[in-house]
Amino acid sequence: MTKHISAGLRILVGASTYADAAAALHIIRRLPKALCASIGGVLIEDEDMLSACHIPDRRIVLLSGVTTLAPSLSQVRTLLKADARAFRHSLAQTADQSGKEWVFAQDKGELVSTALRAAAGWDVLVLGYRHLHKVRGRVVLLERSGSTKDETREASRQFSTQLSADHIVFSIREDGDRTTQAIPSNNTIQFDTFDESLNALARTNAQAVLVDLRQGPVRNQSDLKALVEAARCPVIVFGASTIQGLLEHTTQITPKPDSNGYTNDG
Amino acid sequence: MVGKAPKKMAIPDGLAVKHLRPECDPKSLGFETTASLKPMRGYVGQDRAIDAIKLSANINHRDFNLYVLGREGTGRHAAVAQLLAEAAKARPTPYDWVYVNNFDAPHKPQAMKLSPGTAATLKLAMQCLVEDLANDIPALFESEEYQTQRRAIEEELGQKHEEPIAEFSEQAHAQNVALLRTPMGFMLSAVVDGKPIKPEVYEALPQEQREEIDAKIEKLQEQLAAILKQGPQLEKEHRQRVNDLHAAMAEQVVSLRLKDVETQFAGVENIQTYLEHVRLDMISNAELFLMSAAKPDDGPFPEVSRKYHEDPRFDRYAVNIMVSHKKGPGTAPIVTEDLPSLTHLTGRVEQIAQMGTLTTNFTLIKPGALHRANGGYLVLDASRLLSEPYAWDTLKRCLQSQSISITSLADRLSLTSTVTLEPDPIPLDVRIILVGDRRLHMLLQQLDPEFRRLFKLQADFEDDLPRSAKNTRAMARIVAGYANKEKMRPLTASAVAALLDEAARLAGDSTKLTLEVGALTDVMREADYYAAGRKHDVISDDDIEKAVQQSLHRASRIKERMQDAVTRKTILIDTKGQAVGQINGLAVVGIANSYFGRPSRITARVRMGTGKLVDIEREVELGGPLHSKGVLILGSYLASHFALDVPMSLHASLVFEQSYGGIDGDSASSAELYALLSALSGIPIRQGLAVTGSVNQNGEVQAIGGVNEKIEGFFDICKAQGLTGEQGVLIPASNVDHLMLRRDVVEAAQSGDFRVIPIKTIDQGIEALTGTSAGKRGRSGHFPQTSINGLVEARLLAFAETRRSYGARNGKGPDTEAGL
Repeated sequence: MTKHISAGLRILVGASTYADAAAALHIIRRLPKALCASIGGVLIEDEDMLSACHIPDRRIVLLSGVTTLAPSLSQVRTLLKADARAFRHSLAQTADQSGKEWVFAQDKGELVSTALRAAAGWDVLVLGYRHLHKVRGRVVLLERSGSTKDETREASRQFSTQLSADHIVFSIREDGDRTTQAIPSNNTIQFDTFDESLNALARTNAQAVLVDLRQGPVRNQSDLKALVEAARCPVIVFGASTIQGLLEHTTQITPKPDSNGYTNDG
Repeated sequence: MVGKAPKKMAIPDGLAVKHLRPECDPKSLGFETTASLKPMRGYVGQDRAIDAIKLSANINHRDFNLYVLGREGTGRHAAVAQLLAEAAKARPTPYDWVYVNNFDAPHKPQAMKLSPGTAATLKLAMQCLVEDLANDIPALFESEEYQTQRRAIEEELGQKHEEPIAEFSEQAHAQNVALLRTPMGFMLSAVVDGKPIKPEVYEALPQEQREEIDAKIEKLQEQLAAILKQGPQLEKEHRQRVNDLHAAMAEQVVSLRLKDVETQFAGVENIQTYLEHVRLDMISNAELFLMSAAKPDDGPFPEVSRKYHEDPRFDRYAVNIMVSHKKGPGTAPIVTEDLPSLTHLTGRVEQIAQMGTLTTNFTLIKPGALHRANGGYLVLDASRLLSEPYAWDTLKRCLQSQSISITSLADRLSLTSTVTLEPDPIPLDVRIILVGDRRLHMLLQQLDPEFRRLFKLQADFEDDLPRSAKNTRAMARIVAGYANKEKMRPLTASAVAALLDEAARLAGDSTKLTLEVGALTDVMREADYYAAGRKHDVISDDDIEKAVQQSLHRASRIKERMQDAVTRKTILIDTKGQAVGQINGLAVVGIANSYFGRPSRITARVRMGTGKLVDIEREVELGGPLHSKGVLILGSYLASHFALDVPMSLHASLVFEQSYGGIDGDSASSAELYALLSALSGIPIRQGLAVTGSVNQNGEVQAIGGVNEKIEGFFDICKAQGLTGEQGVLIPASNVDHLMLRRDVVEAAQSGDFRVIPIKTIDQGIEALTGTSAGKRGRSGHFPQTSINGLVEARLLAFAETRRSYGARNGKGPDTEAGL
């Protein structure tokens, strides 16, 4: 199937399970149609998770709090196949509702690094993370203090409006910014370090976290990994392409398409 | 059979013309045209019925319902309408009744009694309330006040969720344990060199170290499980607090808006109770108003004019008016239900199809005639009511219980099993007026014991009234009033006189006037049409006569066919000459509402026998019981008048010749007796005469019905075959008062071409028919030998002697049937 890319944001959802992807797609479905030009999805087989399943007598804690024996490797693979089908189906549904193009792929590796690699050429990367409860949370923008980029702020405001959520900005003074005068605001919380902000974020009921890699404070994959773990909600990453240099080359993810089009597996 | 008669007595003179058609004298009416007459108010000759209607209309005790009986066209409906309208003015305006939602049991809608004029106000107030809240509640939930409180709850509850997980994450991180996400849930893994441990590395670890890792992970797993298990409880708490917030917020605005409605209906206890239920329901269902506001309005008008109360979601707050009345002094309702079916009487619960199934709610309850007439009068046609399935039964049930319960026919017959309602019964205070005929009234009285208890009164409308001068003038005023009301031309005095003559004829009695005003007004309307055709300003007697004649003509096709058959000798009727044992009897044929006379030849044959009189009509089951009774009576007459000292040794047979349909009634019994006497005496009967009248055992001729039609029927045959001056009809003397013959018959009588002879006894009749004296028993106990009776007795004695001789010759008793 051939899809033509049109104007607007191209959003890629990266997730290691369907539950994580569904949380991300839920947010995308609430966005205005004009904001999104096309959607992509990449289901990443987390090697760490697969390895952990090899260890005998490992258990899994379900969302209900019940513990059960971890599945065997073959069972995990079966579950991942089912997740891939569900992810693909849900992605297609989301795209069809707004008449967008969509593309779906599968990959292996660590979630953040593999997703970043796949996000080459995409405007936005959404890293999925399942909701642990149903209480509506905030939309958090993580930014470096003194950032001059208003686009991300505007996007975070739009997201909060669409998700009927409070909007809050976590502003981090990095070393070079200590002299920068922060703009006082009711919904802005200032932090001295990135770790402090993550600590606060871990205790914040967030629906989504936005971050622009071009503005910081997230500078590398490990920062982003830490952010995902602390947020425990979908993380919306702008400027993912800016850290392409950190990515290894892979043939699994197609490079940024030219103007002629894009081929998906659907 | 027609033979020569010996010298005979002349045919008796007939009745004088004045007895044949006692006409109304226009001069006696005292006016020239009805334009100068003051229309009659009230009803002539119906005092008994009017009193009954007034009693039923005014009495307050229950079950004084009324059955109005009488013939069609006697003005029953008009009288009922007029008298009820007068009585209704004196009665108070009834209460309004509405159905509202029963919030505790929606399948049992609640009936509310309201003072007159309140139902519509309440309905409008509830619509406005819904409109206001549909605007206020969404605005309230969009307000900063609500959002702040909601955020506070969510933040607090969100924090309760996040805090333990964050602490768990830190603890796990501190113990070098990573939280991995799997398709099924979370898995914990020890971290080595910053990455989750590989299986081969784990396997290579010493046993103690592995156990240490396993213990650590197990402990953390238990912690994580405990944290996640708290989730549902926290979410429940969250829902509860949000619901409480919604209720508290909604209560503010609902109570504020509802206060206006409560003030509007202050002091009305049942409305206040209902509004309290509404308040509680609106508070607990505030989301209805949010859902309605979220629904896109695709109507032609701007959002601001959107009618939220039309949204089916708000049906639960609607007011369904069953009956409402205008506020202030009014009258009790008078309702006439032309189609008194079950649902039209008690109302119905309609249903609508939703997603392929039938559903309903209290707004789909529709009122019936009983609701509309409650507190007043309901007029129903009895025959229509009784022909509607379950309608009579339901009406009685409502009257007995004094309440209106809505039950559908489908439910009663268990035809449907869909959802339905059980609305509160509405108390009933109504007076039922049934209008019907006498037969139905009699049947109801006989067959339905409840009828007598529920319909204690009857208004029996007279069919006619005496033709006195006073009543004649009153009828003239009624005619004038009708002409005036119907905007017809005025009638001249002669036209009114002609109309009253027709009224007497319709009454079947020259001394009475029919009260079937409907039939008279039909003649008037038709006469008005003819007067218009002739461009006359008034209706004349010619117009009335033409209308009457045309009416007869339209109904005369069968009559003319029968006359034609007689004229062509297809049906044998002699109107000239004489014959033994043969006579012209007269019958009345009724087709629809048209009646005409038809002569029939009756023949009698005799011979020796054992006293058996054979009625051939009865033998072949063409004769009805009354006819058979008449024949038995005349047999008894013979047996008790002739040859009293010998056994009756007659075998006689009687037959209506060329009668192929059934025959009933005893009006031909005198004719049959004359035929028998002729056959026994051998004296021929004049065939120019026809006979009607029944006879009793004493030989007295008794009155019969349809005398005018019978005379006219024979006259028409005679006229067709040629009037000879020796033709006429023998009628019972007691029928003379009933004569109101056609003008052409009267004219023929006046010119001596036809005669109507009143007869009191059989002897008189047989003398007129045979021209021979009937004869009376002398002192010797014998009739004169040449008289009819003498000849009859001699013949019967001869039969007896023959029979005795025959019995002696064969050695058997005289009563034997042998040889006969």
